[in-house]
Amino acid sequence: MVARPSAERALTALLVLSLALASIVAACQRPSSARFPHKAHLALECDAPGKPECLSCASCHAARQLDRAHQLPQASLCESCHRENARDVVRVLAVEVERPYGEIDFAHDSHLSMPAIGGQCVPCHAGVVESGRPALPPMSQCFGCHEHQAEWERRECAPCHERHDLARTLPQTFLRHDESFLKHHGSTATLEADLCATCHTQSDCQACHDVTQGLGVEARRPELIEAGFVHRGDFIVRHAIEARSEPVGCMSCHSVASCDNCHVERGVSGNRLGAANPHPPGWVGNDVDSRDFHGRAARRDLLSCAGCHEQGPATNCIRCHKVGGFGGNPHPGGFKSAQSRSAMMCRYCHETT
Amino acid sequence: MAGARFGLALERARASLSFHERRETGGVAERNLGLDGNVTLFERASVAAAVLLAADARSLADFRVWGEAEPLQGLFLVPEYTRAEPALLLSRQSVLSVFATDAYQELGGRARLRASDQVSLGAGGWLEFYGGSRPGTRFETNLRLAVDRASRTLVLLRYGRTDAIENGYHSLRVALARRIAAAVSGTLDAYAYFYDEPIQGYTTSSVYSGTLSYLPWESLEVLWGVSLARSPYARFDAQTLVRLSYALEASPGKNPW
Repeated sequence: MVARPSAERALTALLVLSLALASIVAACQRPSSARFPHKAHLALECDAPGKPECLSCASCHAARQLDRAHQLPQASLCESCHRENARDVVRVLAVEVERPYGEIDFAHDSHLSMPAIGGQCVPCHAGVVESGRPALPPMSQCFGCHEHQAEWERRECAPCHERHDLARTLPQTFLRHDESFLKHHGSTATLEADLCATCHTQSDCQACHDVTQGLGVEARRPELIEAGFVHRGDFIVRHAIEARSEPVGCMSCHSVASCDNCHVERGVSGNRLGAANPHPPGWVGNDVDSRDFHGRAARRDLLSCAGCHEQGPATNCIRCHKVGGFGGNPHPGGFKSAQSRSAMMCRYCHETT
Repeated sequence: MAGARFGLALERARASLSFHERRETGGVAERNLGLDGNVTLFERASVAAAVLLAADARSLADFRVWGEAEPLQGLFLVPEYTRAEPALLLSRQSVLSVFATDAYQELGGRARLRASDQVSLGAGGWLEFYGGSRPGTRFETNLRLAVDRASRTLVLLRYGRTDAIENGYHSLRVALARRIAAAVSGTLDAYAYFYDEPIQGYTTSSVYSGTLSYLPWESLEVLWGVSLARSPYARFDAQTLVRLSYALEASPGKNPW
């Protein structure tokens, strides 16, 4: 979109906003699969609570020792009432039950017999009737009674979680990888590698940090839309702005030499024969107040300069910024250095005998 | 380059001390001392910091401090402050480091509100201070919708604004991930950038990409990706990717939940 601008900008914005709207609509559409109407069944009239014809949770979900969660009734139980629409019943029961935490090895019997629970399902599965969706308690609720300190110190998630489930379960409460976790996960990974290893393998580190790959991680893993990759989208256009906005961020991974290596490769560096001068008019000269004067830019973003001009004593800074040079005395008024005159930095200009 | 790192982990705190020395042919060695750690103040609040000291200059090359707090259920706050002297991150043989002494500072933070299991809102803003110019700014806000677990439908919307003084831009992003069938998942991603100052004559760029992945069984995945872009560096750019991956060991990372 060449800078004739506003119509193109408006069109692009409209397109992206339309996609946003379409995405929200798509996200809000419920799947066609039916959900079980718990509330309607529990509200069925019967003689009095406790009578066999009165339905309760246990009427359908018989929980027995060593049973997995999500115990579902046999279709024959439903068909005892639903004789005319047995096909619908089978369809409801065929819905794949969500297991966001994987299988949990949970002893329902021993928990239901506890006085605090009193045989009720709702203390743990609150909201299942109202929402019609499986309501599973967060792990923090388990930790209200079970400390599991020994297992925690051994980095064992079994016997509650199964190993293969951990590989596809993200922590929802503690250890949640939220907010600044990605930005600062390095120190955690260094100090508590065994904790990371309870869920992750070395290949997960390599998925992002493998610098031997020719493609960047954003190109290799485009399906990870929620990952905090910094080079997403049209980064090559934005990189100059980003480098000025947050220069230290680039330095977390890149050396200044990598700037020029890439620029030379792409023919936009002064270090490549025939390349265009990358500096704007007013870069050098007498107008030191110019918006584009190089001194201002160098003070602001020296790392960009160093991408091309990192050449020690041969740097063109010294050619001008030396006593008697066009750029004037580089030492500010009252300059006094604690360094020896034989220090390398001083010897760039001050030859010692 | 050679270095060492020592760490100490306690129940509510941990810290690491590191030292690195880098030598280059014909250059002066660069020595850095690093210290990082964090402390859990309360059950829902912690503070962390990381310091990099340029040993030769006896000055802080990089200092960051940040906190994490959950003052209300579902509300996360992460204030952060960074101070750095970029010149000290250069090789000490670089004469350029003599000419730049201005520190760069950044102050800001981010917040996220988990309104429900399905909806969360995030925002972040930062002020960047450089010597000799007005502050630069960065701001972003985003919405995450995870409406249906069964289909693993995830929608991300993001607006961002970056003002880097010489140039800046507004950005929009829309992303959608959804499981289409039991073994088939897809994503769509769209980005648009609106630049304050034209770049090579262009003021807008946009990128659209999508993926389809098929998992015939848990260890094997076939992914097809396509991206289309219009930008100052390419009037029209189309790329495609076919990726076949086999996991020799169980690995997370595919589940956006």
